[in-house]
Amino acid sequence: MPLIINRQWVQNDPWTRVEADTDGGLPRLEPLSAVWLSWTTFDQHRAACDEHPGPLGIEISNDMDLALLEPDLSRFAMIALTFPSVADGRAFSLAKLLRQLYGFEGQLRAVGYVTRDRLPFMERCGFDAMTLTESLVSADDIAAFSEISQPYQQRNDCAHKDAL
Amino acid sequence: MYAYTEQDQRLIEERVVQFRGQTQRYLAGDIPEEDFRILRLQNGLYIQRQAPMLRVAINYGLLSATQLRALAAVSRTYDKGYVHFTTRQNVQFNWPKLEEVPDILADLAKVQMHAIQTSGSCIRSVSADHLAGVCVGEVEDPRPWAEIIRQWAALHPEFAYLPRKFKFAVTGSDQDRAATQVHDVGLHLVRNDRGEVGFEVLVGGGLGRTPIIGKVIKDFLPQQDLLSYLEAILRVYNLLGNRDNKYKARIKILVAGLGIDAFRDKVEKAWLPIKDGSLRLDPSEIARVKRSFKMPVYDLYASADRSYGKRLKTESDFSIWVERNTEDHKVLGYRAVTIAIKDYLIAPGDLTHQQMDAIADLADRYNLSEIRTTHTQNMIFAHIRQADLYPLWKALAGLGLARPVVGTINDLMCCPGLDFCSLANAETLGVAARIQAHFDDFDYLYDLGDLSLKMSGCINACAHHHVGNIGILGVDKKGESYYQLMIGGSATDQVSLGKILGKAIPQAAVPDALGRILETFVAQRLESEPFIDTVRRVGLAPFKERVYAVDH
Repeated sequence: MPLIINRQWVQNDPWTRVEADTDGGLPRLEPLSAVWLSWTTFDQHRAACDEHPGPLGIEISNDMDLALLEPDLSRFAMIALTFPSVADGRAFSLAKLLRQLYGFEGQLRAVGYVTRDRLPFMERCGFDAMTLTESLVSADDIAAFSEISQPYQQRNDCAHKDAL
Repeated sequence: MYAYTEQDQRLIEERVVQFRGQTQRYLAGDIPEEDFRILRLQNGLYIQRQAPMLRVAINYGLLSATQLRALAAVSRTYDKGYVHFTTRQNVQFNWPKLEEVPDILADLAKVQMHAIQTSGSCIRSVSADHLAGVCVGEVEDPRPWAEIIRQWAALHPEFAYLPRKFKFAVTGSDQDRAATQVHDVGLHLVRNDRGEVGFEVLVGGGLGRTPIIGKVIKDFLPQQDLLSYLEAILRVYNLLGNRDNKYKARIKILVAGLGIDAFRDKVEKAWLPIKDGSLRLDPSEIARVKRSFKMPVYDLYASADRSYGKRLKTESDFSIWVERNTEDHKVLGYRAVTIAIKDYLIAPGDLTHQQMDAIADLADRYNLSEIRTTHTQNMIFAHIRQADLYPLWKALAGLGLARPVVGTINDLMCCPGLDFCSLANAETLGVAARIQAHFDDFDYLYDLGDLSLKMSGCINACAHHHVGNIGILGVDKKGESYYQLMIGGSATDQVSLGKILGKAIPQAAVPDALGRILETFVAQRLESEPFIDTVRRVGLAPFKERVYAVDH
């Protein structure tokens, strides 16, 4: 999947997605690898996750109450938020809340239906990583970030350092 | 007028370039249809029955003569030479070519106009009282606040993909001329016990399929907290609003479902952590925006003129026009003039490029180069010296813009209907023409007093038919346009929703049915009681009986 981190194309994603087995078990986590999993899987396998010495990431759903995540927040180096469709904008608010209210400083990754024209809004809401929808990607997509040079909400944005 | 800074100008120019890129990528097949639909709607572009339709923002209804000329030029160059002014103070071009829209927007950006967020599930253009700054007894001019909201909302990164559209209206007067109680958020400038000016905030009003009157969420919001509080409302809505069913997606449904108290609690909880953050309004920023809306320099001796009083006595047509189409002004010797865009048998709100150029010239000559649009699809010259009323009336009459019908059923509000709109179920323009042709006895109309008539061609209620004293809703019956009548609605400070009178009737029967409603009113009326009061007093029954009576 094409990946942008801090406005750069990244060839090798350091993060490995881990899914629970069909019987609900968790595969062995590579000790030093950065792994990410869904909130549900994490919640069901807390012990295994506790023992994992490498970085841990989580994907949460758009209807999750962030207060539930808060006690565990410091354990995550990456949070993935999903855009289920081109019309769904809930993850913008969740990102903003994670950055500005919960002070999350790890990687915020946009996943799901992610295409060029929403990239700048994602960045301004606090995403620094975006996994783009492969069939619609173009090398030129990075240009989207600088289309509007000085938005009105800048003071309240979680903007990329280059944009300031 | 709000004076654009370099930043304001750069933003709308960059937005044009951005949209040009989006259009080119769409035409090259690089953006899927559904994705482009959302992108173009956020820039006011619909694909309609006949052609695309482009809606351009007239923020809080304020235009300069230069801007009006630019609209006229666009309609000449890219369209068919006429435009439509909408029920949200905006303007629509009905026949632009998709590939030329970026050029149109580039032309408009040169005069500080844009189409940002005039459609789509985002924060729409902000409307305000059309007599802002000149009406008697206003707490404060709402336009600087509408501009502050416009800037906060424009390309807001968090709220561009809301469950549904979101509309603001602001007023500083207790006479509500901006329909604030039927907006997603209505803001009333108010003064508290300590004499400070802030906002009463209403939320969850709206028309459409489920008409609801907005509820007070905050009695008094200090002005520096305006944007943080709005951000909190929008954040709660963005996260919790229904995204599965578009008829349940407006904030009114969320508020009604949770109840106003529970909704308020959620907003407060979202608001407290951001209240004193970067959204807190700086007094110097408020003052900067307000400087653009300073009271103009008026002629102190305007009331010394004698010609006006004389004309009123000797020219009855003129005095009728003054009575119907002008309003009091806070400065002695001035009046606010309504330019009625309700010419005989012409679609309400439609103007030709020649008329627009002529209005711009008149604005330069008589009205400090300013024009306002109203949500009732008229225009206002807000600063007319009494001595200028007569020559202005003559000039307007020559343009077909002085029909003395303001506040009568000939001043009807009307959406474009089936002829132009892809959402519509029924025709509206033909009905409007039939009504005008049927009720051409102005003396009869004047005797009826103020009476608002609003007609929408579908349940989206663009013409606010629920809050018309008489409302008409077009419906489709096996491919034919039928019309449902309702009475008892009101969009004033005593807002109420109309009630349906009975089964829908065919187009040809509408004028007669209206006639019967008016006859019933005249029979039931006490002295010079307004229509709405009579309906509230006697109820629907006598009207229903008369309209649906079988004649023998």
